[in-house]
Order: sequence, then structure tokens, then C-alpha cells
Amino acid sequence: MPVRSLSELALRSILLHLDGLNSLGTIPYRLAKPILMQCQPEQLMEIERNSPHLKVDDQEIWEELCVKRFDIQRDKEGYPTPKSWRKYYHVALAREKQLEEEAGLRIRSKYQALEAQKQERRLVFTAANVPPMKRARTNGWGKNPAPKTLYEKARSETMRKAGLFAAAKPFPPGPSRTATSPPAGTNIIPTLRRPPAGTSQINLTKPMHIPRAPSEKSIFSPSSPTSPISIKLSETKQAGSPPRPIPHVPPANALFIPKHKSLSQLPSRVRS
Amino acid sequence: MEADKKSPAPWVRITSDDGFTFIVQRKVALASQILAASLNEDSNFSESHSNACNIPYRGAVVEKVVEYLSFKAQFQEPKPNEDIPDFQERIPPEIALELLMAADYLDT
Repeated sequence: MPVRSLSELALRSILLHLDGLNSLGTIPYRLAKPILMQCQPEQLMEIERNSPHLKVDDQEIWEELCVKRFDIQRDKEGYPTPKSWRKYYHVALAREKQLEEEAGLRIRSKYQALEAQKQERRLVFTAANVPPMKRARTNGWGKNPAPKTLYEKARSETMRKAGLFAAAKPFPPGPSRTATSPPAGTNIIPTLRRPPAGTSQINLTKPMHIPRAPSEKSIFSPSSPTSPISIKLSETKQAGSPPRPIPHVPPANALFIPKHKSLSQLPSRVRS
Repeated sequence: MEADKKSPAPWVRITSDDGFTFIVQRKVALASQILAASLNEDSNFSESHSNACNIPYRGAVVEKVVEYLSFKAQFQEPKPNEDIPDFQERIPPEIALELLMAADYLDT
């Protein structure tokens, strides 16, 4: 027969558009069977709902679905037949879902345990109390030098004071000094004591005898042994003692005094 | 009139459930077994006397059925060089379900 039957053609057309199908109307089961065989379980449920007369006969379809889905093995006598394959399908599906969820839960908890284990071993960076690095302070330009330790502080302080002592007038002052003693009001340095002889260990230079103008006394100019700056004027009354050579220690700000006198900007030194 | 009685009428009437009427050549109607049986002169069916058959489906469906019957009648005996067109594409899915039922009814 070269021409296909209309039944066949119509069936083909239905199967092509199976997705949109949700009811089979009043079709008898025998006609519907080939269509139902192709349906998914959910669709089958809907069709049954809309065309209830099909429910009566469609056990075999559900049976087929169950066997396929749940891989029921057929043994020699065949498998036990539940009263309703449709019910069996739904129960088995629910059971499967539950097993899946449990398995998922197990895996998740195992994974979390593993993660916790890993976390224990991980390094954790805290913000507190990071010890400073050794090289933090070496900056080429000398900014922010390493803070001075106590020892360094004591040392520098001592040296500074030694320098001041070295610059103090000697004890006792000579007679030439009294002639040039300034008026009492020009005492600038309230306390400047002579260091005991021999304690100063800094550069010993020849004591300088510099003619000093009375009004231009500066704290930091190297005072001559003849300058009576000390408050202890009683000492100046002693006469006859030769001016002890005071080791000349450059004062603390010696940096600012040019080594060569002619380059000094001090008014006393200008054009000297 | 005797000639009419002796030879069957060349045209037959096919009616649908909702009042549509299709007048077709006899050989077209005979493409369906059921229609052929009911239109048979030897049978005592009323259809054979009236040359009219009813197909209990909607007009749209019956129209497609009649179309198919014409198609079938034309290409039943294949000529050697002839290409038989595909009737499948002439079936709209909306009526496919009822068409299936009608085709089953007419056993065609």
C-alpha cells in the first residue's frame, strides 16, 4: 500500500507535538496506548487527570515506567506485582529522593569536617604585635634614625656635659683677668662650674687667649681662661695662681663654627 | 431513471456533525472501507439508498478526512513515474486527535 493510512498519519502528527498534549479527550484506550507509552510520568499524570477513563487500563504503562526508572530486575517468575503500579512509582520516587538527600547530607558533613581540619593547619595572620624588622630604620637620608637606646642617650649626654665643663673658666682665675672683668650684669650663664682637672677627655687644644669685647659675649664662644663668667666671683679674688691650661673642647655646636677663623661670620671675628 | 437505479450515483454526500456537507465522487467515498460498506448497493443500509453518509465529527475534521480520501483515491494505483506527495504535512496538529478518532472510525 503506497499510501499511508490516515490513522498512522494522525498518530504521527500527535507524537510530533506530544509536548503540548495534556488531555486525550474521549479517545478509547486502545487508540491512546501508543501515545501514552511515549509520555513522561508527569505528563501521564496530567492526562489521566483530564481523561480519567484512561486510568482504568493504563497499569501496564506505569509498570513499564517503573521497570525502566527503578531498574526492577525480572527474575524467573517475574517480579511481584503491586496493586497499583502508579502508586508504586510515586512511593519509589519519594524514597529515592530521600536517599539522595541523605547522601548529600553525609557528603556535606564530611566535607565540612575536612575543611575544619584544614583550617586548623592554616596560617592565620593577626594584626597584633608584629615585631619590627631589623632593617626598618636604615634610610639613606638619615630620616627617622633608630631611636637611641638608653646607653647611647647616656653616652651622648655625658659627652655634651663634658664639653661644657671643658669650656668653663679655670680655677682660680689669674690677676689679668680681674682687669678685664665685665660689669656684674653681664653674667649670662648662671651656673658654669669648672670641671676638676683631668676629667675632660676630649680634644685638648691650646687654650686660646682671645681679646673679648664685653658686649658680645656669647655662651658658645670658646671662652678664654681670662673670662670671668662664673658666678663664683670669690674665686676671682684669688691671685697668683697661674692660669691653668684648660683643654680646649669644641662646644656642642662646633659644627657651626668654621674651622678657619677668617671664614667665621661672628662679628668679633670679622676682618680679623 | 432506470439507468440511475442500475448504476450507482456518481456523487455521494458526506455530512458532518455540525451540518457541513461535502459532495464527492463515489470512488472517493469508496476509499474508506466503512463508507464503502454502507454505500454498498447490496447492503440494506439507508445510506445506500440515499447516497449520503454521516461522519460523526466536526466539519473541520470531516473536511480533512474527505481531503485524505481524495488523496488516497488518486494515488491508490501508483503510476510508475509519479511522485506521491506527503500528506503528513497537510495535517494540522490541532485536529490530529479528532482526526485519529475519525480515521479509526472509518478504518482508513
